Amino acid sequence: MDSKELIKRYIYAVTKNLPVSNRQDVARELQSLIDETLAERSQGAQPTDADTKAVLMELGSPSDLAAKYSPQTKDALIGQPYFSVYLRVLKIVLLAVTLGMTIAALVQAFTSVEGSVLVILGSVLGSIWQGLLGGFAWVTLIFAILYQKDVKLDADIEDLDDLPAVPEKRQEIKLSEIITSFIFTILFLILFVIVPQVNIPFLVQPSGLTSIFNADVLIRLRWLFIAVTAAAVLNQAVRFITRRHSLPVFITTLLEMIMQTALLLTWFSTPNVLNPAFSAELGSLVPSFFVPANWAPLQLLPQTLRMMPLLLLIVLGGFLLGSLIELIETSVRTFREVKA
Amino acid sequence: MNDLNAIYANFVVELRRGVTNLVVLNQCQQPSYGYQLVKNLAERGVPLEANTVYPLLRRLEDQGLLRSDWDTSAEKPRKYYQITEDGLELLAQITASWRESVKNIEAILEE
Repeated sequence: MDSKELIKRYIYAVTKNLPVSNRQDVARELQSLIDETLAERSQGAQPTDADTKAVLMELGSPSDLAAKYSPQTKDALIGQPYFSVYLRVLKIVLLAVTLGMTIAALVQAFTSVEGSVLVILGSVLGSIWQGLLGGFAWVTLIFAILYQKDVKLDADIEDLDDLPAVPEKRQEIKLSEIITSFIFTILFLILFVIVPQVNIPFLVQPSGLTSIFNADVLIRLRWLFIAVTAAAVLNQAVRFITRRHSLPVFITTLLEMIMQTALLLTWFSTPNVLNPAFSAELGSLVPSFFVPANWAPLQLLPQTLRMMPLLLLIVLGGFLLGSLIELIETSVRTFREVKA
Repeated sequence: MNDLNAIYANFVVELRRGVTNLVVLNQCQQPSYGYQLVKNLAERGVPLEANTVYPLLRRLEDQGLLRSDWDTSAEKPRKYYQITEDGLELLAQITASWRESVKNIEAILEE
């Protein structure tokens, strides 16, 4: 690593958790200080890498210096630099909860038979509000504990060579990407674990609703669904913390994909994976959705999958393909980074 | 013995910490930048670390006691800090308070 890169990494490590409003100015001032000290140390000659290291060592570890820029008097529930991170996490969680709860509440509202529009609207708003309060309380509690107990946001860096690289544009993971997958994860959790009876409603009739998947199977496999959700959240958390494609991101993506594949294989090899009522309804409504039982390629599939409507098989295949593409993308970007 | 040395070093740091604000505010009556302050003070027997002075300058600015300007006309851009009206008022007060303390503590030590 050359001097310039080392300085860039050092300054980034110091400033990344400072409030956005003065992050750049602190970075500029530090750069000016380091340049000045280096120039004096090398007496006009080109400063060597050893000079740079000595100057940075003298300034102290990045986390110590960052702490000096945000003094902790512990007179707040959540102080800097935790507060900036807290705000970022809070925004994402509240957004995801709002979207997830809205969809779940709408599904429940439309599947409940009684009630006027106003009552339904009231209950939808009520559950969103409850979800928001819950999300707010949990995030606040977790960050308050992190701050009060002095849990380090960054690992202490002993050796300057271990400073992580400043993320470049192409290695950066977009926040919108993380938020989108987080919202889908919350939805997944709500539909398949919290309200398995509803899961994905297909038909809503006065007599009740017809969901696509068999709720008994979902309940039996509950822990597998929870494990997949946990793997997804872990992956998103790592992405959120590192914000760039790196080995930990790759490993957690791989883990998530393995869990997903295990779930899909287990789930779809269970007998009666579909709600029998759904199969019947669909068969009577759109017979062409069913693949003819004697269709040759179908004979290669396990018995349980033969009764799957073609559309679902395509969705399933598409899903697996999507995960595979994501994994390949992650590994390519990780490899690039490691090489660089 | 090593223990005593460590305790002594710690005492000196603690003693100096209280007057850092006073010294830095005093020096900023002329526009100065961080590195220059560190050098000047070290030459005059008050060594302060750059990693203390820089965050301190920023804190004093946040408190409205200093104001700052980037000077980009020179080859190296530098951020100059200068004391404000409020800063001057406070400086007068803490200087008086310091002198008073020194006098009183001296008297105790002389006893």
